[in-house]
Amino acid sequence: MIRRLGVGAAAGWVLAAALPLAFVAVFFAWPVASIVGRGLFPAGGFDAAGVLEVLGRPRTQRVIGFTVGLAAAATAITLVLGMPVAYVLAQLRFRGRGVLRAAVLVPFVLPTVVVGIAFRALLRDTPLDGTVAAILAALVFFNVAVVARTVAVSWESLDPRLEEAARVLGAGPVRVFATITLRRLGPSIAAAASVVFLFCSTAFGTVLVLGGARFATIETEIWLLTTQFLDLRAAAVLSVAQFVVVVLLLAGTAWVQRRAAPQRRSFAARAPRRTDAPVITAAVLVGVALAVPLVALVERSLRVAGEWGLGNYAALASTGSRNALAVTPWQALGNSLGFAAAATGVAMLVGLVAVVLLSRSPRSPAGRRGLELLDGALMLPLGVSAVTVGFGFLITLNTPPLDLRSSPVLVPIAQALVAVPLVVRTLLPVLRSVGSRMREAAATLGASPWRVLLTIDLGIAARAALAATGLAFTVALGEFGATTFLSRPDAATLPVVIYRLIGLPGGDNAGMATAASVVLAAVCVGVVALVERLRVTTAGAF
Amino acid sequence: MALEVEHLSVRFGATTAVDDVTLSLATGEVLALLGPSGSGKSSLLRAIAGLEPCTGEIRWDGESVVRVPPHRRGFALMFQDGQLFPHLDVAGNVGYALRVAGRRDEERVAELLELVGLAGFARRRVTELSGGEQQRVALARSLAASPRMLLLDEPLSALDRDLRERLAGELRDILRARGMTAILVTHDRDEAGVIADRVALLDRGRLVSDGVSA
Repeated sequence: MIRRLGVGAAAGWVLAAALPLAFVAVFFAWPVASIVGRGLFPAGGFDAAGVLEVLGRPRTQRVIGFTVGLAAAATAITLVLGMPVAYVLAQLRFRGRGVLRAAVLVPFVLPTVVVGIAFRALLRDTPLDGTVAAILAALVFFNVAVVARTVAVSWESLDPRLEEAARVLGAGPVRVFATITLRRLGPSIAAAASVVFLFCSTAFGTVLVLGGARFATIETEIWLLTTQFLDLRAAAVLSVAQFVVVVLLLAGTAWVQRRAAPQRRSFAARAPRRTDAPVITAAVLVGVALAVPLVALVERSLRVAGEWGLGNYAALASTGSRNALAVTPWQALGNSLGFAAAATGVAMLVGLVAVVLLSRSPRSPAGRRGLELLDGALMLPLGVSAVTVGFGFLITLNTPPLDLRSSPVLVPIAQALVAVPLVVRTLLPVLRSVGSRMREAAATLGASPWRVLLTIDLGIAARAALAATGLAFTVALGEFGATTFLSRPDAATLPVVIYRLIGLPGGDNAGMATAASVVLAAVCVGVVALVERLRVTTAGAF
Repeated sequence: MALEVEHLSVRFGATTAVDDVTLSLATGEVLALLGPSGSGKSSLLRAIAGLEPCTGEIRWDGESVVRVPPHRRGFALMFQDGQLFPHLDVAGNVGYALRVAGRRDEERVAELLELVGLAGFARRRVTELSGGEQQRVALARSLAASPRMLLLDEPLSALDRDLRERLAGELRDILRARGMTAILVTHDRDEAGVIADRVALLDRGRLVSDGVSA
């Protein structure tokens, strides 16, 4: 008789898998599918002529071309700037390394709207204001952390003796880097590049703030088509086009990562040498460059009509000039914190159940296949248009069996959806480092499977879980694409309020927006500072 | 007989790792399973621990344990590389089984650490220990569970020769002093001779001899 996985245990696993799957199905697949369905199957049948008409529009082609080109350019620049930082973080030990680590992570957790406003503040009255270059710079600013941290995690785990062997065989340092190190880092660089491309091609808040109507990407175009022109068909076609690209990209990433042997060893960093000077200089310059837009934002927030003053901050207790807002920015901050806390709770619950499942290595091929699907399904919200999700919520979740439109739970659910992939990516490598034999050792010491889960898996992942909680909170706090559809004026979140402020005429409102951005950024930076104290290297890595 | 194993087989797909093994162990007896790598000795040990699906019969004191999950069998397994829990300190590792059983017993932890020659190591991080120290902690952790039987999977193989010989002697003394029933898996004939009362030879999954230690 073969026993090990009884019927009860198998049922337990399936039941556990049901929670994250149901969450993704109800709050992601269904809304997205129904919005796409409405666009592509207007009268029940597939509207091929309509799809071709949309794809044939010069504007559609221009938007898709611009999005791909923009994302590709931003990814290339981000890689070039991120690599020296990755090297320094992974290989060198020096004073200020922790500060650099944290500084690089800050832009990544800043709300997209805040990043947009910071670049506006920086480039105001320069020829770059309102150009593609400004959008490009903002996207790079946002994503350097992804490259630096993803590649650094992998770089730390490389056994330096291989490079030493190559040196002894007569290869110079540049040659060793190009022929050995770069190849070993290949999978992590590819993973970072595809995630950056994903973020750049689906960026919404930043592009909307900096590009306005002049530079439309697929994401802002979907927003424009659904909210301004009510052209659901064109929006659906663009959503599907985006979806196809994202799925291909995620599949490619998964394939590359599967080929890379996961290494959880970590080799000691060394003291810097004279030859490291150029790389350190480059890394420090990148770090400083990342601070510049934030300094500009703070500077701008302290000016009222050209004079230094705290007027913009005082105005945060008001509803703006000509009563532009339904709530004050302080009230909006309170809303944001509440929604983000709820979203973080949901994201951690779903994320934890998912990573516990994903970290297992079932013996049956069906089980393995199932886990791969779950892994992919959980990553999808990362790349699918947040605008589509938000709009999809509005049209699907307002009819029985689920009528949630008037309920305030939609905002945190949408935010949680965006945060779950980050939770999974932060926790999964840590839980995967718990080998099955360590669990077996605990079992033979008398610990039941539940006890093993609580004391070994979650014990080892405790710090990473705290870090993931912090990251999820900042992501939820800054979520804009879906929230803009879902938050009601009287319960608006701060990013939505900020966007509303810059869309209204009057210098006072724009000044208020910068002050509100500083407040929101300060909360995010505070959370990141706490996360950094936990020293979880996988935080922000993919 | 304390342990009786009858017609036990372990299969991985088409390959048979353990082929119809029958053996028995008296209370307080230490049996060494000797064999080259790939002979199935670890699989046999894991099947007895309940970690590997198998066919056949395993009885303890006459009662079948085949349907008893690993954590209720009372057979503590010690791995070659210790498998210490990295998020717990030395005392946390040693006291793990006690806490699982609902007892917090600092005194017993200290006593066990002294037994394995690590008095004063309680608050050290396990990642900072040498290989030999890690295996001592692993042994203390297994003993803390007060197991009915100790299963040792190549417990000394990862260590260098000097240390291995010294620890083999200590391990024998500890097992004898406590009257532990134990199965030791090893590929080292000398180590088997020092620690075990009896040596069983395994080759390609089959038990080829079940003699008395020289």
